[in-house]
Amino acid sequence: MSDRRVRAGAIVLGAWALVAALAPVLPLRDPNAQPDGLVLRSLPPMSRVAALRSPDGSLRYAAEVADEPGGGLRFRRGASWTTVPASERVEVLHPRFVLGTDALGRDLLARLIWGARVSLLAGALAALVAIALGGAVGAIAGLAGGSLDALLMRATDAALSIPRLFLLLLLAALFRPSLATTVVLVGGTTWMVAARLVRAETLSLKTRDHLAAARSSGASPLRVATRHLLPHLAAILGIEGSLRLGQAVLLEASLSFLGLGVPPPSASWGGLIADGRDRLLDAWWIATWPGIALATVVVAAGLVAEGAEDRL
Amino acid sequence: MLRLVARRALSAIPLLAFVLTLTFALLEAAPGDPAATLLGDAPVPPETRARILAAYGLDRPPLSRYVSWMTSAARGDLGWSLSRGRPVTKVLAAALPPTIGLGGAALALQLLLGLAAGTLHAVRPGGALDRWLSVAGLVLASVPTFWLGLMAILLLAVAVPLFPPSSMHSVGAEGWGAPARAADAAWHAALPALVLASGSAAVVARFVRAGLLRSLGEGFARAARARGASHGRVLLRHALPAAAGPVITLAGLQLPFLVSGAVVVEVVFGWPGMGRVTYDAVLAQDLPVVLASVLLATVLVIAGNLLADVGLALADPRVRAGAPLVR
Repeated sequence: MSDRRVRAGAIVLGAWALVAALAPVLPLRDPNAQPDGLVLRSLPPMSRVAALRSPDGSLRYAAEVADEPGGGLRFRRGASWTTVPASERVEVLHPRFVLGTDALGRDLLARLIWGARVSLLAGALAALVAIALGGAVGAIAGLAGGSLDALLMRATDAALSIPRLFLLLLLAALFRPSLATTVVLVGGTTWMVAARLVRAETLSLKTRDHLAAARSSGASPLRVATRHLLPHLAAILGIEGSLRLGQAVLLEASLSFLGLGVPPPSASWGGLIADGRDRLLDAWWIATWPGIALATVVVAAGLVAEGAEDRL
Repeated sequence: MLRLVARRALSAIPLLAFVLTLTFALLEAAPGDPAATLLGDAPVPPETRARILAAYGLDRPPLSRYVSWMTSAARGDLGWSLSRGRPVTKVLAAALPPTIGLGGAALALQLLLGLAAGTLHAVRPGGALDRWLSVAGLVLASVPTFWLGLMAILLLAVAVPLFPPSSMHSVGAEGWGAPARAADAAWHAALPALVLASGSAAVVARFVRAGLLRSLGEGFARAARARGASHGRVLLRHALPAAAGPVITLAGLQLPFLVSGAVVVEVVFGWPGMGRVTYDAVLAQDLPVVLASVLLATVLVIAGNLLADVGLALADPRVRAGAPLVR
């Protein structure tokens, strides 16, 4: 059972990571291009439109195409018809928009996949920051003991009881939003659980002989921490990291949804949902896809953590 | 009981001092010149500039500003809202009741739904219902709250118009009687409270399930079963009370997440609470309001935790019977 959960979660996460990494070489439309704000605006999923391709490769989108009686054809954009003489030799295509388009006529499939790059990168880096910071605090507290331990743990408790999103709002007001600040802010407000876990684990490891042996043979505290402690902490850090990944992706999405995360035009999933919020009533699909995508990542990360924890 | 409350209230003071220190440090560390933010881009003669900086105390050294920051906060003076032209305390005092109402409703729903779902889980562990509830809970705990809010508006306010999609009162409700206004507010709160509660309810349900399974295996439950009590009766009358106590602690621990979630839910549903006010203040660069709301949100969490402790103590039969509180 536990193996199956870990495997299923890892497959989903791996698939997203692969798709996100390969986005530049996948046959996708430009996620930020607005080729035709009139014809392509808010198309529902699976929509097809007509497109006229000129011999030079340029595309003209059309809501409707009809043959002209004397050869050639005419096409409609909005209410106006335009005639194309037969001599122009255009080719009529019917491109499909699998997930539909947003209010500016941008392709949602492309935006979702390019958005995965931003969201997953921000989430993964923030989870790393949280794990590193929490691990360091926990290990220092556990190894040092005494008043430093007490001080660090009180700070951890205090940080845990400040509602995170309020703190993030303050930080977003103080620091200019960017990918880097988002990573640092999300990581910097989610390290506390890791700190507690690592401290508890460190305290129990500290009594073991191999740590005492390392210390008595003159190893520096840093060496004890990295060479003798860290390998034993890898499992719980991995599990906590997986949980953090899911939560960090969610937090980043909340910030981006509020317009305080990764700034446009790079589309993150939270930003995509914010785009869809304004068009909720006439174009439900814009906000729906990124929400589902977010949920798959969070569920998968949770499954990995849960399965691995049970196996431990 | 009183001693417990007093001791917990006292222990909150260093925590609040920590929050004040942290926010002050963040303000100092933030890039940008406060004078430039205050004065804008317009050219200002140096003496005017000096006067404005002095008015805001920005010409004094950081330590002196830190001391006055702490002392005025201790006196309940949280500054002046730049965007609303009112004292920050007035702005937040108006926003606090809606947030407490929404949060309280969400907390109640979270416990109710969590206990109900957890009990259903334990009717037949490993059965189909158990597994489907697990899947539903996992999904509910994993979807972003603001997205769930949007979907709830789409489905339950637009497609099937059961609930109002936004705001706290109906248009024209000002003239209604108090009961009608309260019912109207509750009707407006239903959807946001449900959305806010759903994620935590899933966590509570898992917790209740584990607790029920543990108590079902214990002696008192087996004894009741041996006396001929039905499975349902054992579950509801014997195992559930034993498993419900720790849920109160869990609800207290979940409180910061609830208060955090209130921010996005209030923004999505146009609920005029603290989250909404803070968000507007961030957009307006109204720092005094943002700083004070971080403090107030922390106070809310501390107060909620205190309530959870009192509730836990009251739920403990030893305390109910008049025994001194052992902690």
